Amino acid sequence: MLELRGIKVAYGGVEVVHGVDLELDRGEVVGMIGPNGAGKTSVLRAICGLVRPSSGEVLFEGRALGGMAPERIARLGIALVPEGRHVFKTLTVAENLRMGEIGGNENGRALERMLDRFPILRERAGEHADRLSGGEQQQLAIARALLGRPKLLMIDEPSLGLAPKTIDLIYELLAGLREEGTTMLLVEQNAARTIDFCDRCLVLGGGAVRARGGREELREDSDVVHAYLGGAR
Amino acid sequence: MRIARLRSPRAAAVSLLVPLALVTLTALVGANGSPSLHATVVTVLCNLIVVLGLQVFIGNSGVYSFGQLGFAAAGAYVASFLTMSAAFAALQVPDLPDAIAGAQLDPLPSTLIAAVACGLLATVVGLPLMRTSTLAIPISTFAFLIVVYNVLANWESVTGGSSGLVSIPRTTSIESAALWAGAAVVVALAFKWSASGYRLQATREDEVAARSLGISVTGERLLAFALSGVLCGIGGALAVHQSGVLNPTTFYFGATVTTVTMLVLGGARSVFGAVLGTVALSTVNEILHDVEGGGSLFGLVSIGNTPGLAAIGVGLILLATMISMPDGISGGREVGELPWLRRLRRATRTSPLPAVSGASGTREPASGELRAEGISVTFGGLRVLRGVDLALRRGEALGLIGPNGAGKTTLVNVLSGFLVPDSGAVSLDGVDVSRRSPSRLARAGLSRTFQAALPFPHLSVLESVAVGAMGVGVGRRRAVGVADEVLGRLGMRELATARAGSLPPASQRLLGVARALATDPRYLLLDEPAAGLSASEGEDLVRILEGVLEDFGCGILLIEHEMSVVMSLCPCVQVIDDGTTLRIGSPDEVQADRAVVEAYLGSSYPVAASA
Repeated sequence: MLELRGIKVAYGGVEVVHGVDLELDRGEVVGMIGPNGAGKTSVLRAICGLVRPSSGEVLFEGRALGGMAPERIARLGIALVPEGRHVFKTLTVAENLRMGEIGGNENGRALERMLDRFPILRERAGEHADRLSGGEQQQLAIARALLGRPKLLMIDEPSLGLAPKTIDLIYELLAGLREEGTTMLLVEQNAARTIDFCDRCLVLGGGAVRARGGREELREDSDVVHAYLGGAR
Repeated sequence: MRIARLRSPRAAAVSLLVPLALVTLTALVGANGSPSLHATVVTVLCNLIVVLGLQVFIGNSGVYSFGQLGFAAAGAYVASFLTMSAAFAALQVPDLPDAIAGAQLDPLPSTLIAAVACGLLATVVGLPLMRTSTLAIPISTFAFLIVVYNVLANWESVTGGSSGLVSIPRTTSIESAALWAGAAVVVALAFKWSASGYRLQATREDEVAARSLGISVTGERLLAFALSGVLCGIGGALAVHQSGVLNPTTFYFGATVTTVTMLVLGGARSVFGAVLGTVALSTVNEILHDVEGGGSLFGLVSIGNTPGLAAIGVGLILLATMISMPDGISGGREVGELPWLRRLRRATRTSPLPAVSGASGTREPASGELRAEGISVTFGGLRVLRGVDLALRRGEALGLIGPNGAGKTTLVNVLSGFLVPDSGAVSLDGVDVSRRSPSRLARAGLSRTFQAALPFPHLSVLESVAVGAMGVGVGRRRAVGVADEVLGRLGMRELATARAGSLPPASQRLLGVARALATDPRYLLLDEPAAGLSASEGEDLVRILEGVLEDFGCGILLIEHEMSVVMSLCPCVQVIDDGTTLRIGSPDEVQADRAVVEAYLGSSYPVAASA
């Protein structure tokens, strides 16, 4: 479904991603882990067109995305929940969700279904988004992304700044999405949890892939994982 | 010993010499050109001084002022009054006091007096205006310009009214204009690189973060506004002594648009940009003006009479620049900061030497306490804090945990002066500080970081941290030493020359910690510094903060969701839930508490912790 071929990303002449390959099939859940500055977010940004790769190719359903504007890529069905959520703070929860419906067809029913899935958002539908707690904002950001009916959902640090109990809740919601066959690409700091949750993981370090594989393989490759991630968390 | 610098001497020299060379070149072209070109170049140099005046304020504060030409007008009138012959003065401005009308000063003293007068005027005008918000300043300065124009145009017996003044001595030579312009370049760069200039740039980059470092936004803006007034006044004084005639419209809308365009075209943050923009736009303007009257473009394309071509051309250039180069031709950088030059330097840079330890010295055993009592805060009917107490002793670390939305950040906002509580009191070492502003609290030794990092994106890492020290009044040179020391301690020295905005978010958060430490705080409030750090980076952070506790002797309040960090650093943890304190105790006690597990940690916590 998604294929990255030798993606390189540079900012102001400094290359931060040195050729990353990745293949993602429909229904798969893949995680990207690695220390801060490893290039994880840059890879996500390259996929959704927020930064143009200096070389390499991004293919989505066989179609090259090179040079496409971010909004066009979003309409093809790639949704990004950015780090720090970025909800529309001065709009209400309901208004935020309306913004998520890119197509806008049958909008009433899709929204209802989303509110069933995220009951807390129904409870707070009329409130301004900046009144929500961090965990609630994260749910709102994910719900907003889902309303665009994405084929691929990418989430940057879903657990960032959340209480341990709230992280459990977010991962329960993500597990529900996984059961329904949602294709997901997650970027996380919490290595142990990500390796456990995802079908496969990429370990990034210094802008390159240092290890990749499923739970068992990464456990066998524990030296590499340890070198790039430190003590398992 | 390693001496940290904000820039290499070579980069500083290049940043200064290239704009000076550009000024010299411009003057040489004028001096050897036709009489009309000669006159044009003098005007360009006078404009340049005004544009540099704009750069001092707009470039460093990031706030647009449309009133600076009012100071150029004031400078022009003051200087003209002082140099005009008594006979002409009696004829044109009969009500002007004799002491001024009969002064008949030389060019230099009259220019200097005009400069001082404009500095004073800018201070008086700035006092109320700089208190208005970032969005209100462009409007209120524009209103000032309108007032100045109307006074000049209507007070006939003193200003000559709308018909203006003639027979002003034409004393501004190309040499003197170039010298003044060169001096203005030096002044603008010296200001930009001074402690005051850095404090102002910090307010441009992020006002909230700047205030948290002890910087008074109003005060720094006022200083730059006054200096800008001085430069604009000099530019106006010189310009009028080139043309010999003065009219209130000379320094009104048209001139405002032209000079602001020059600044934006070149790149407002950069002094080099101001010079480049002025020279580039003047050149284009000159070529288009030639063509306007009918003629040929570079002798190739012949064009008929096209009135308005110059104005249209200037407008199009501004549009094209804003679209393709929003930071102007210079990209907002000085010559010594241009990327290709940085790359050259990186190649020859030697590896950093080991840290100079203990430069700031180990403090005497710390005593004192930051105390909050009965803090309550309500946001639009929602009670966010309901009577919370908190006590942070120096030399100790206190963990503050609780569910998202429990009120932790609100409490830090109250402690650091960003929010006035509905009830309750905050005291610092026994002194009540409940209503003090964030900048005053920072100078009193209370520093904080932010969840959202709030970096100064266009400053380098070293500059960002040095601004922290400058904010609490440390001189520039010492501030750089402090910044270097702090960066060394945090293991960020290799990043010193990187732009803060180019760092990944987690490093920006760590940079926030460095910036706060540079204020030499007695109490440090950290809002989720470990967010986005990997496990090993989190462990490093704990080690760093342990060292800070020991060497700086400050008290650390740590808001953090990463339990491994909180539990290993803090001997005491306070749990807040729903605006009240749920529990205070040791990490073991808190982690074993059923209510805490229920509200915050979650039932899977012990499993996750042992994993």
